Amino acid sequence: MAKIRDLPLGTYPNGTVSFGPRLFSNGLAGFDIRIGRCTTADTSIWTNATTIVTIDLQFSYDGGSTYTALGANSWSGPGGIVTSHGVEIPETVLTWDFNSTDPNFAKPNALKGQITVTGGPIKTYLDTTLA
Amino acid sequence: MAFRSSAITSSNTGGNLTATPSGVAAHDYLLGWFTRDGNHGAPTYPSGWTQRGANTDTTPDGQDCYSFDKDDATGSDSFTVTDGNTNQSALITSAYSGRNNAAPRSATPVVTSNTSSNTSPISATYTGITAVAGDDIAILIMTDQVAADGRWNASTITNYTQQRDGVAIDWVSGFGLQTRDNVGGGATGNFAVTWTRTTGTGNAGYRGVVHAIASSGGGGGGTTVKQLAALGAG
Repeated sequence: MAKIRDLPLGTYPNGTVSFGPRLFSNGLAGFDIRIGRCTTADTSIWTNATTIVTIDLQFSYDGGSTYTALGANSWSGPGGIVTSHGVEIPETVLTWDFNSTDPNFAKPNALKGQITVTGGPIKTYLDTTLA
Repeated sequence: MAFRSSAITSSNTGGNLTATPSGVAAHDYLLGWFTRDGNHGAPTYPSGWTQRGANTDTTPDGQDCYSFDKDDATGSDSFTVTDGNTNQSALITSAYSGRNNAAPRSATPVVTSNTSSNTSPISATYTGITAVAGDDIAILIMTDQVAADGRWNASTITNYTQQRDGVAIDWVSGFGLQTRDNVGGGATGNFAVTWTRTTGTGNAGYRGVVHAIASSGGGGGGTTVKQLAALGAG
């Protein structure tokens, strides 16, 4: 599992930041994205529920010549403190996995993405971990 | 013509999830499967999609799940499930070619619910469905785990293909899709799945929805009949 820090901890204005493309000669089995978020221990990170982060991923199955459409694989959600069963969640974790049984789209061999902030600015970081 | 492709994504803080199967074409049949920890009601489905199967049991831990579908894809369809909750959630979407876009459900989707706190490995039984010859069968499955860190995976149902199996997210890890193309008509019988907690702690209940997806020919051999007709036979 290789973790890549795509966005170092810092303050980011409204707008879009792109990353990649990254090429995977043996195909990509899956990955997760982790975004630092607000806790009582550090209320400065992604503080506001009105600050929305959108992650858009694009996958290529032909080595990066063409990609899936922007918006076809994405996530968006608000900031602020989130608890689960009484426990604060320090990172939003998002996963995408690929299907090795699929005859045509088993594993992408290139990935690129973009992160869009609205209602910011936002202080956070973003890591990608490849399977 | 049959199962085409699927996509899966998940989040530990809810939000809006989009996962688009690759290669979707006009007139595919589209099927979605969504789960979320806790009991908070249905999310908002994309335009043109309709909820079919639902379970909102509150035990052993409480976890909602919903199947939803779109009869006739345009080829540029939305696969975004909009959800204002921040609980752990997961989404599987899938596409099927050569289906009956006017009447794609051969039977009402069948919901299975088990609300016990079962110890791993769980010998789960999912209630079958009455199929029409030529149907594709999609079995949408999930666990309701009672501890955050459990990671649950399913065995493959005999004669089925495990398209998706599990997500690495707390509380909603057991989540999958298994399919079989072009079945014979009649009752499928029940489906046996063994759920195994591969890491972590705790027990789980389980739920699922079974869909029988009709062939465009209206039954087994329908496509062949159409082809013969096109050749001037019959």
